[in-house]
Amino acid sequence: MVNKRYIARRLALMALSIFVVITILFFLFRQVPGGPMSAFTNPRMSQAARQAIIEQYGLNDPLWRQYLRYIVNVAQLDFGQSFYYGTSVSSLIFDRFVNTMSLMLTAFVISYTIGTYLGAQLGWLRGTTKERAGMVVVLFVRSMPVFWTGMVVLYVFSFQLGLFPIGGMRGTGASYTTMAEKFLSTDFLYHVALPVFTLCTYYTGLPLLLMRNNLLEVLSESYIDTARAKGLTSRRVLFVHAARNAILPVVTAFAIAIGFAVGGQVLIETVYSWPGLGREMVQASLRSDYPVAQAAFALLSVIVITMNFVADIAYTYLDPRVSLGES
Amino acid sequence: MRKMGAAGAAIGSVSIAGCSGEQTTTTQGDDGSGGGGGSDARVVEEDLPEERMMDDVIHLAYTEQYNPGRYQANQYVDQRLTDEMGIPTVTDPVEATVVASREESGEYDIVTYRWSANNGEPDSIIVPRFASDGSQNWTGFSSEEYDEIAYEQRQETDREARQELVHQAQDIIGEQRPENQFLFNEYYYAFRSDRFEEDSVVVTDTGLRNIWNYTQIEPKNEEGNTIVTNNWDPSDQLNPLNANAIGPSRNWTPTRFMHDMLIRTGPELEAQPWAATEWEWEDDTTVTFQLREGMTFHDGEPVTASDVVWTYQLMLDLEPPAYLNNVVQVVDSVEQDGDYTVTFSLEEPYVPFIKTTAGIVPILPEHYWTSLMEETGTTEQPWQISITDDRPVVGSGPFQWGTWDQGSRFEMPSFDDHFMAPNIDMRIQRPLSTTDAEYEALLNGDYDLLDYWFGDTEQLAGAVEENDFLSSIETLGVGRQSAWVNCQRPPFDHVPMRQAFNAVVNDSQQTIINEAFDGYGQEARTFINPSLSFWHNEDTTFFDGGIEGATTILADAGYVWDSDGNIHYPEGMTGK
Repeated sequence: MVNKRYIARRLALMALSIFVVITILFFLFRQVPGGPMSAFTNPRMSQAARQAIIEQYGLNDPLWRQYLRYIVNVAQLDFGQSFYYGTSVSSLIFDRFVNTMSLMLTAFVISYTIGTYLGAQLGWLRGTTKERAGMVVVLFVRSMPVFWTGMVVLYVFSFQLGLFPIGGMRGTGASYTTMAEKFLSTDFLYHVALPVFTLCTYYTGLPLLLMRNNLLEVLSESYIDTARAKGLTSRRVLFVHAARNAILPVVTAFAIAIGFAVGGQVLIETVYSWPGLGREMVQASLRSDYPVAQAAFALLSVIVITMNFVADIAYTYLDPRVSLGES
Repeated sequence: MRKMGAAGAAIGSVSIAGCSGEQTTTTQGDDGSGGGGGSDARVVEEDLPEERMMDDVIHLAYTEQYNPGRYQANQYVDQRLTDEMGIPTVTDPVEATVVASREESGEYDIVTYRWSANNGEPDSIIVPRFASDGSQNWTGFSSEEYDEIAYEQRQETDREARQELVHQAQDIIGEQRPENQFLFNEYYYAFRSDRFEEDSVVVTDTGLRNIWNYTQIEPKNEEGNTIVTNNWDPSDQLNPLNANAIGPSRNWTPTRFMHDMLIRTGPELEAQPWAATEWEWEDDTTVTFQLREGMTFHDGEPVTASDVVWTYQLMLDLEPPAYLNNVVQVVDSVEQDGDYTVTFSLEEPYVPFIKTTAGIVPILPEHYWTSLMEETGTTEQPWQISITDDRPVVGSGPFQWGTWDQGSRFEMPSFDDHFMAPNIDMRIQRPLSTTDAEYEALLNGDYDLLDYWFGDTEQLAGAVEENDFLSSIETLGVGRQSAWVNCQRPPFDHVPMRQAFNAVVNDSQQTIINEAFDGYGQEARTFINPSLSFWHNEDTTFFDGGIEGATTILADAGYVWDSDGNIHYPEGMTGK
């Protein structure tokens, strides 16, 4: 199904892409006007003091030397120290990454499960009033900007009804010792509910529409007629015979969505004061905190590239007709 | 075409005047002189050479999103310069970091932001901002007479004599006008009065976010025992040696609260005893501090003179960038005499030492820091040590390290053994990312008080009026909103141009205060805020007369206008 040479070639290409991305990022951020010194030093500071800080960050070296040093460090997975926080970039990014994924993964898994199921149902019901009504609802919800939905949801359920917290990831009194405790507590669920609900209203649309359209195509295939002729129940025809073949593009979409999930939903993170990676990426870029911004974007691209690869491989298992690298 | 423009400008000003109900002098634009507004004082000439025409004046500014009030004020002034003075002024809004770097490299004509006197010390403006070699003199202003006075005041130990010098410095800047004030900012703070005794709340130049408030505020009930506030985490200045940026974007409140300094600037902006109970100038360059006895660090070890000497000596030896200005360049040597007396010898007489050095440098525990430095192998640049829950700071201040959940909250339990032990049990910084959320959090009780408020003041004031459980406190801070001009290039390298600009700005102040700042501000003529009443010179020279006055100044200096209302440089001058 997948030959080893193909995988090796893909891996090499991935490594090359990542290298190119990291290089572009390095130079791109240094083109942004402003620069870290204006963001990190006290404007009351003297020139000598500024110079000392510039040296401390290694910003006085020629660009090519800074670049070489950076590449060598990254190759050893050392992303340096944040100019702004003064802490290690790896641990900072990791914390934020976990925060973002706890929100985004939850939302994606729910959205794609519901979306795939409803999409199959709608496809099956094609031509009925139910289907038309369903499509109107789906398109309406999908067209609402997610930050706007977020604000409305927050306003109603939190500001007005007081049922949910105003923002953040945990309550004032909450304390945790382990990661598991942190993400499996009721306090966390209470805080994650509104943002996940908001994200789901938006993200359910894509798998739903994809699934419906694919299903329509699959339903016109002759093996579906065969299945029906065998006297199978509609349920069985739909879920065992049709849906399985219609699901492929949804899998790709899911894998790529996971990749982009790393970047989070900056607007949702802002509306709900979620301490995620998306907001941090924007902040780091504005502050010219090069180490953090570069590492965050590098992480994003690594995951997008990897998830694309994973989607391709997954295809070969889901659809035996697909084979990679055999020509 | 020009007529249309003039009519538009006039309508614009009238409508603004209508809102404020006070400003009535801004409608001279339609008096018919010239083509594009202006006053009777204008000298209009035909066939002026192209090179004398004034190029666009670039007004470097923060974005509207960053501070809407400031942005509106800028737009208003720029519009008046353009429409009523014929000075083509362009607002150029950019990100905060870009403002700073362009200002430093001189790529601007006008730049606006808020600035204040550090720790209520006038020297923090007088020398750095306007002396020829001042570290923050980005206007490029230069005057020998001024330099002399500026350096004399920081050495003058006689308070009255120093006051006179500080007043003179303000007068020279007032006459020469490298800086033109928009207003003195007034601030509005809200808190839950159902949880605290109202008269125990202390507001200072840093608002409610000050140690006097957090140690003296008296809770009424259980909910008031833990103060949750909106101060922004990331608490990025947690390493006390790395307080590189005490600027507006940074937060060194936790560091200030977890450590003690020899003295602290009090609510009235005067030096108050703190870790030192008293101090005395032995001569112009020698000052002795008497330490309070019985103080301990959070780990129980005693605070002694050797910790103070160790802290300052470390700075003198290793030169952390954050302390170059106020320690390394100022202190010659520091010595202890017994367990509780510390004597500093200064390089040269420096009166601001008490507030800007002794009032800022945190006293570090020698035993803790030496082991921290050894452990991390960071003995040369200890300001690079990253401070986390696993490696917290230990100080002796009224609050101690609790937990830091980066991006979510920072907890500081109070330190009961402190001589100024807080009445509350804990302070928690818990940032929310929108002002709407902050506002709701105060209303629903998630927040006990707002350390600062960047939202709409009228909205907050409305909430206080409607709800019995909220109270407010207002204060004239030490800040001022100003426009600095680039004295190194045309058109503001010419003093009459700066004075004329000042006349336009002064004439716009009431409108700016009422319309852009919701009435929270006072008219301002000098760079020292009236809350520093001893140093504030209320008779500082300024220029009035509005558009008429500005036009007269410029006409007297030889500026002329063409028939389209565009200003031109005097004969023999160009904008190149």
